[in-house]
Amino acid sequence: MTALPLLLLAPLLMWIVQTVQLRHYGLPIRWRIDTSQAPRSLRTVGRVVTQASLLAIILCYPALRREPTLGYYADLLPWSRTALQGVQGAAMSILFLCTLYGVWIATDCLRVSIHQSRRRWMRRLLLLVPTACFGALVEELLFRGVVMGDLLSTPWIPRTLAVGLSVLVFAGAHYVRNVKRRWTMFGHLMLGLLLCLAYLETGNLWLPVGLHAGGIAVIMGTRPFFRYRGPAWITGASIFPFAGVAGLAGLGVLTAFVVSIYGR
Amino acid sequence: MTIAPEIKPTTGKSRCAACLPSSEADRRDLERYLKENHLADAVRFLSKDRDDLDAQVTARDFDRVVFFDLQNLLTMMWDHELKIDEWSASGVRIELVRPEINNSTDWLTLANIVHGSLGRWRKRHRRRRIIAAALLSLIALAAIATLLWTVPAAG
Repeated sequence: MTALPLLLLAPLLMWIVQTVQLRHYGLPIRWRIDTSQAPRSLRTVGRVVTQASLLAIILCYPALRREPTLGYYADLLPWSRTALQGVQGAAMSILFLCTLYGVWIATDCLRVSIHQSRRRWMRRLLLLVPTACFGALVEELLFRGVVMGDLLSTPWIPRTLAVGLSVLVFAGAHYVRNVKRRWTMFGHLMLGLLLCLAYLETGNLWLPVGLHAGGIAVIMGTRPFFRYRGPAWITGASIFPFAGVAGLAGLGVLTAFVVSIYGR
Repeated sequence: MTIAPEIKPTTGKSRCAACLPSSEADRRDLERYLKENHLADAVRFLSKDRDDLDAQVTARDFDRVVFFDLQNLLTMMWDHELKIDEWSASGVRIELVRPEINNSTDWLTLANIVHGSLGRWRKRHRRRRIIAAALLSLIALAAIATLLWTVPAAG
């Protein structure tokens, strides 16, 4: 089991870089990874370090297993008709979120109001597809391809425990930084379960990447145009429409659907 | 007595309407007000019949409408059951049994401004909702079509 210790190095590195920068600016050390009320460059460097450390883990892990990097990931993303599962995954999450948003708009829980400048939302929409695909691919390679794959290949860890641990690691990783809302954790746990089962049932990363990318695309694409009016426990909030009770139930249905359709 | 040309002449039926509040105590106060102002024969409308009241006022069946308070009047406005601009245009006199603002010109002006603003806001809000719902429906339909086409192919 090498993936988890390797993954733990990322927040450690992020914290060290943050501390060095805080010292550079003469600011007090923070025990959490928290860039709020800090110079902009600290946030930018923090983001770069996060992405770089995650990419480093993705690239280093196959080498630690003495496998060629490209070969390892080519097995996880086979270039065949199976790749269509990525398209299906994206279609499923887009359909799920559009239905959810449609209901929130009809019930006035979501108000349509443009709250970003035209330039900003145009740029966001133009970069939507590459951003969603890249974000989903990196996260899936890391959490399913590296972490879950490693746990599943560890002989003394049962499959159920491997799935449970992968779900926890995926959800927990979204709260390593100081975040505005912690109650959305249940949404991330449920989303983690969907993505882990999608990987477990298909044996490749196309379906989880598609599900993840479709979700990111709809959430980020609609963000400049929607304002949540709540109640948050039903509708979720901000970029977490799946964190409310209705979203959790919807994710549950989607998970059952994925297992029943792709179950091996 | 001169009657405005657009107002129908009296035909025996009272030309005053009263919108009944839901509370019994408020209703008693309203009845007292009607009696004191010689309007005991006013046609009473329950809150469930407020749309009939609006239709009859718009049809110029009444030239005087009594509400218990401003809240009752505004509730009718929020529920799209009062076209105060049309009422004002047809010269209908609105009275409140318990006006929170004593000067009737003030609250009537306020009600007109609120009605106009609310109408514009609702129109804008409705247009945005329709556009958002139409776009979401199109995207959802495209997603369904994609699923239907690709599920058998992927196996």
